[in-house]
Amino acid sequence: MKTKNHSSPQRYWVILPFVVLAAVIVVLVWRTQGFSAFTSYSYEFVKAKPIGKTVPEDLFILKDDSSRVELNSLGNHYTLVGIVYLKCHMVCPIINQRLHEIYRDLDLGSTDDENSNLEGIKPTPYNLQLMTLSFDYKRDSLSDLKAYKRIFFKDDNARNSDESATLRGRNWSFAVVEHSQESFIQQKLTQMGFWFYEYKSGMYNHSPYLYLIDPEGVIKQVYDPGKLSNRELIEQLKRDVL
Amino acid sequence: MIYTWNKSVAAVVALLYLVALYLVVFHFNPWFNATLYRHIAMQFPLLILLGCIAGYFLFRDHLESNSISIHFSVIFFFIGSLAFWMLPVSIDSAAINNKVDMLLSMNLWISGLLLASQFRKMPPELKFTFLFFLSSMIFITGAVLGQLNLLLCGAYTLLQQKILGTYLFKGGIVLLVFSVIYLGTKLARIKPEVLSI
Repeated sequence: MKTKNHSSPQRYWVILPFVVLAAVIVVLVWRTQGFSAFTSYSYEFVKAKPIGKTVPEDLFILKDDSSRVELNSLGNHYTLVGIVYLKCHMVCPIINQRLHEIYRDLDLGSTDDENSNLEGIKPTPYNLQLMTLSFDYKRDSLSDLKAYKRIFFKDDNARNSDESATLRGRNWSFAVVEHSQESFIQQKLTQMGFWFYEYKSGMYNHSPYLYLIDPEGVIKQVYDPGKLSNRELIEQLKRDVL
Repeated sequence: MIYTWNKSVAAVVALLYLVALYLVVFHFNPWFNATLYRHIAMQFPLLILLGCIAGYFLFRDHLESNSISIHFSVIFFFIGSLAFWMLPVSIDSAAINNKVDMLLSMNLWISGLLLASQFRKMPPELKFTFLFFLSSMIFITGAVLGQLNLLLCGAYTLLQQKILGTYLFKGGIVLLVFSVIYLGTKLARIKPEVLSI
């Protein structure tokens, strides 16, 4: 790189800074998906572009009512899915709390009479159900899910509290992904724009998104509860579901 | 420069250098990567410093240039490399993927090498502008990370992010003070008639 003054090849060095600058900009644009994704969560999300896509096939889940279904065929209703793991003490309880507030504010658990038998639950005013889905298949068992659900639907008077919680929270199911390979689950969830990372301690960090899946199994909308207030989230949800 | 040294001294220094490089890039890599502040506030500067040492003592005679174009190119490369590896998505990738982490080490080392090989011949104005820009970038990043209650790097924790913020903020200010002192001493050495031009 030793240079000689006023020699003709010297002229060509003039374009070098522009080439380097252009290369830097191209690399940064590529890495941030056009300056739209700076974190791993947003990068995976922007890269996957999940809105309008069908939920990946073969992703089976076990629900708290012991049924086994595919995530892309949850029934003839919209489902708002929060993907969490139960041992989490950071973001997941907040996501579940938000789901609980949505459940309450949209009156998804309304009955003719709070004291009547639980079979009298009315159809939901919105064609919507909620789901807390655990991706931690290694540690979250069905009994853990049921126990977790009881926290939200506790009924001390019920003879069988498990059954009571299942009935009371019939529009809010708790489920866990069913597979024995983490790479498979990671691949499927990545297709939905969901990112997660396991710390050495066994804890996870993951995207906080809520996925609205329509009756055809298509991801209709994705909400970030960290960016939306409860009121904004519910208003958007009403618009998207109705 | 190292070529002019006594051979045995040069060999010992080179060996020590290689050991230091091995320790930073490989041996202590898991320790650095365990927390965000060790990774960025310690490993990054060490890699750049080791690159600078190689660039100054080993490659300067071959690479040093008077061309302002090359000086600018090196500065763009350095700032671009740093900006790239400071992106939360890149930090996470390096924490998760060993190959990406090696790429990071190599890139920062080369950035330091190129910078040190050109720095001496850069005009003082360019040196100061570069140092001022770099220190501003560091302490503004530190201020933001120190105050932000949103986790940006998913492979680390919010507490580590905040600690990193305070380190970067202080480091940026130290670098700024150093830059001002450096410019002051440079200006003091320039003859008055040159300054008036």
